[in-house]
Amino acid sequence: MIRFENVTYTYPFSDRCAVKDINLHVRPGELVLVSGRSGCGKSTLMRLADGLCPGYFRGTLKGRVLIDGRDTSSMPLRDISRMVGTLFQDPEQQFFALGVEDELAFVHEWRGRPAEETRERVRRAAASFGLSPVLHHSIHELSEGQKQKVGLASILSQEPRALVLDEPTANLDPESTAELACRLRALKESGMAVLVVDHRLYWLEGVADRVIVMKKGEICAMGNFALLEDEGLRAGCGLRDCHVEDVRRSLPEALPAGENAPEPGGKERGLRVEGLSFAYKGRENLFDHACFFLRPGVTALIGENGTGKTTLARLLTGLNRAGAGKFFIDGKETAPGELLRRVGIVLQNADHQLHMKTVTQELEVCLELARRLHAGKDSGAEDAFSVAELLDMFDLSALAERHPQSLSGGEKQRLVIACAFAKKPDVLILDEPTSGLDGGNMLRMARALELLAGRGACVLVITHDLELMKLSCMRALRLPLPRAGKAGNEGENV
Amino acid sequence: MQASFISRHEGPGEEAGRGTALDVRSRMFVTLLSSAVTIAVSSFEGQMVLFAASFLYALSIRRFRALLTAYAALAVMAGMAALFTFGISSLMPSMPFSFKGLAVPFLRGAVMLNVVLPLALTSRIQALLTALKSLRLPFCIYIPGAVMIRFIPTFMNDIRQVAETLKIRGYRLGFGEMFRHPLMMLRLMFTPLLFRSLRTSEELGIAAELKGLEAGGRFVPFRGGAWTRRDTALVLLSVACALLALYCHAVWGGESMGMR
Amino acid sequence: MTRFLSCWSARELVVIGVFAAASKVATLLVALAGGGMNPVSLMGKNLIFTTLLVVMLCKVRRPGTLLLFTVINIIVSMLLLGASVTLLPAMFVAALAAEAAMWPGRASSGVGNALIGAAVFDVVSKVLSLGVSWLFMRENPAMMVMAVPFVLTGYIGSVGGLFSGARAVRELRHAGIIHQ
Repeated sequence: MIRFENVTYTYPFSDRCAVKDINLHVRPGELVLVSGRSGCGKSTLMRLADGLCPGYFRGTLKGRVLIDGRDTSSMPLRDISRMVGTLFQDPEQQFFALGVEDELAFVHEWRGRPAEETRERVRRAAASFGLSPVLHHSIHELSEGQKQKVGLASILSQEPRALVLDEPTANLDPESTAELACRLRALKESGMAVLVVDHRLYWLEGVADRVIVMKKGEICAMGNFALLEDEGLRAGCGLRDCHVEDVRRSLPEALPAGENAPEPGGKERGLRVEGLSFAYKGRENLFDHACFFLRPGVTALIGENGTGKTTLARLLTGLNRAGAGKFFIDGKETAPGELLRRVGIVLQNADHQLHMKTVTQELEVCLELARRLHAGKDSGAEDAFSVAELLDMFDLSALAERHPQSLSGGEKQRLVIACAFAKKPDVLILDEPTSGLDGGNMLRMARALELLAGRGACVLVITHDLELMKLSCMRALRLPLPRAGKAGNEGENV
Repeated sequence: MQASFISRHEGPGEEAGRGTALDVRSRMFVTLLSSAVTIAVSSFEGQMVLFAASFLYALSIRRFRALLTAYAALAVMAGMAALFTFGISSLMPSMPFSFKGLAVPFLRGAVMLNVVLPLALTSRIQALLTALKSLRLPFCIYIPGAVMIRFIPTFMNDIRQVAETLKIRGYRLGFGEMFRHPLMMLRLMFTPLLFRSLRTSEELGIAAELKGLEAGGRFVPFRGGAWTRRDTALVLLSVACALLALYCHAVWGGESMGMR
Repeated sequence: MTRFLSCWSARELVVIGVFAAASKVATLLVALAGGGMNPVSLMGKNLIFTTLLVVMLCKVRRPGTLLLFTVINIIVSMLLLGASVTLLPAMFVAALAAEAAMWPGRASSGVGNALIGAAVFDVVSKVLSLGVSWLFMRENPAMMVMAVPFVLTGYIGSVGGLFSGARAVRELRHAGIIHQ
């Protein structure tokens, strides 16, 4: 169905091949998984399969890419897109409409299908993906899993013969990931050719027919899923683990506040929250007199969608004001307005957090702001990180003079976390710090979090990444938070 | 004037706004007609006709608080302008001060306020996309229009996030800082938005190509418009009011210099 | 006309739509944050608008881009933001004038032509907006004296926007996002 014959491709304005000598055939009813270190050429492989290279990106293509026997270089993108559907990491960026129903109908409307047929296709797509209850919702109200379903339903309603997915699990929780795997298995069984590009591997065990590992633009290994058992290959090519244990239930509970009274004479270290209450306007209480204590170390914040993970992070930084509650950092009560001086937070979208012209400048500004923040305090200046240390810690030294906005997604993610480290916070909260990171960089991130925790900081990680949880999290704070007084018993059951 | 950036979707046949069942096209017509007629009419009586009709129209959306706020702002502007004009006329006798001369420009402002508010406050953003479809615009106007409407809420949210990020980093945001370092503040707030715009346009451009969108394609909306008798009545009424105002202008003449 | 309407690719139209949204939101928020009469916010919103305009004209080099951008802005502003409808014809005429000014340099790849277009657009739209103000206030010309400083202040921001637009394009080239 999708065939690469001696394919070499170079992007415009580049003198280096993005992929070299690729020979690959994805047959109908087959699922091929492509993985490798960031920048190894796997995204380019995907763009070649759906015609974006060279159809959209231009550049130079040597060799042939065939879709159902037809050379893509002689086909307009419009025709290729009817045969090959593409789903991206962030499906919301592909949406043209604001409502689910309108988005599902959009392509059919522009293809001039009769209104009745479009309505029927929308109805069928919504029914098969369980989207009927949210058909009249805005796309902004959907969870990441639901957004992905809308994206996939829209593609499949066009009845393509092949499907290409670019890091489809980067923003998904483990349950949605498992659901996606089941769906891909069903599509494969229905005769569709599926090409998946992803850093996460475990979820396709038993689903992927073949695995391709890429390195520096070339295929360096190809075989069945068992190929990934080779630890040397995984380490050499920056791959993640192929079997991942779900540690969400087994991580020990972060202790409720009352159970962590410091030893007599000993100084309390960590973040203590007492009587936290919060509700969004016109809604029920999300937190109701909740209490908990975060000790120095890396803690995972675990909870289903809508349980308030991001809200809690915002309350702990003072970005949202709690209805009631007290915050104590290292035993000292801290007013909500003062929390940001001692608590750092890294939000998900790295693009919003980069303002300067070079990576070095970005870090220097953060260090300068941190210096001002800590001015007049006894701690801070002497054990602050230096620019060189941060560059080295996050493997950014080679990119020091690059424009931050020209970096890849994973590189930007590392830079914004490095910026947060520059502040040397007592508490650092990270929202999905490893989505889209390859194995090597995920490991680097885990080590960095441990290093910060080793310096006495509380690190709270909101993540769906089971590998990161297993690698670096010592405890879990589970949502919904129990009411004070019930914590001891209920905490274990949540 | 800011519209209600409510992006909750409405099902077919549902009303596009609170307190009104009027189609956005009829409200657009009223706005366009009013703006043309209010400029043309220079007589106080003609403006009063337009003001009375448009005020009733504005009241029909039942957003009394918003209307009151807008009128309060208009009153402040009117007061300032009256004082300013009084000052000018005492310095320059060739420009005499007259309340009637002031009344007509402010009635114009009030008429525009009355017709623009129902359009802006009752047009939910998703309903606008449907309205845009129903206008049967050409591909090269519909696509950017739809993209613009689609991304306005996203960018509003982006700017909020950028401001939060600056706060998290330790920047002080506020009026004082904006006055002291306007260029730096603009760079900090604006650079991420600029790059985000470029990245979004790149990603959405790819999506457009993959969806096979191109000029010359036949567009068939799957949902019909919601034009009702009330819309026809509104259009007829507004035309009648416009004619009446023009009649008043013809009979009583204008207040403008040299137009009487 | 039909040729003009059908020559656009989806990616160009998307860029125009995204920049129209960005400029609308940014200018609206600056105005809301600083207040409509505040000279700093008045300059700021004009500066941002012109900067985005220059970047967009460098990104989409097809003749007619500014005209299309203006038409989209007019339609959506009218529908959504309750823009002063009376100013819209002035914007349209200004866009036509800017397109005419850019026509001789349409084949050039530098930032110069975009700057010429944005500059002409700013000047003509400001002059015409004063004309519209006169239409509104013709019964009491003394009020025009109040409108002129606001328009001039905004224009200072627009001139600043030409410089920041050129700088932004340079930065985008450094970042590899816009290519010569």
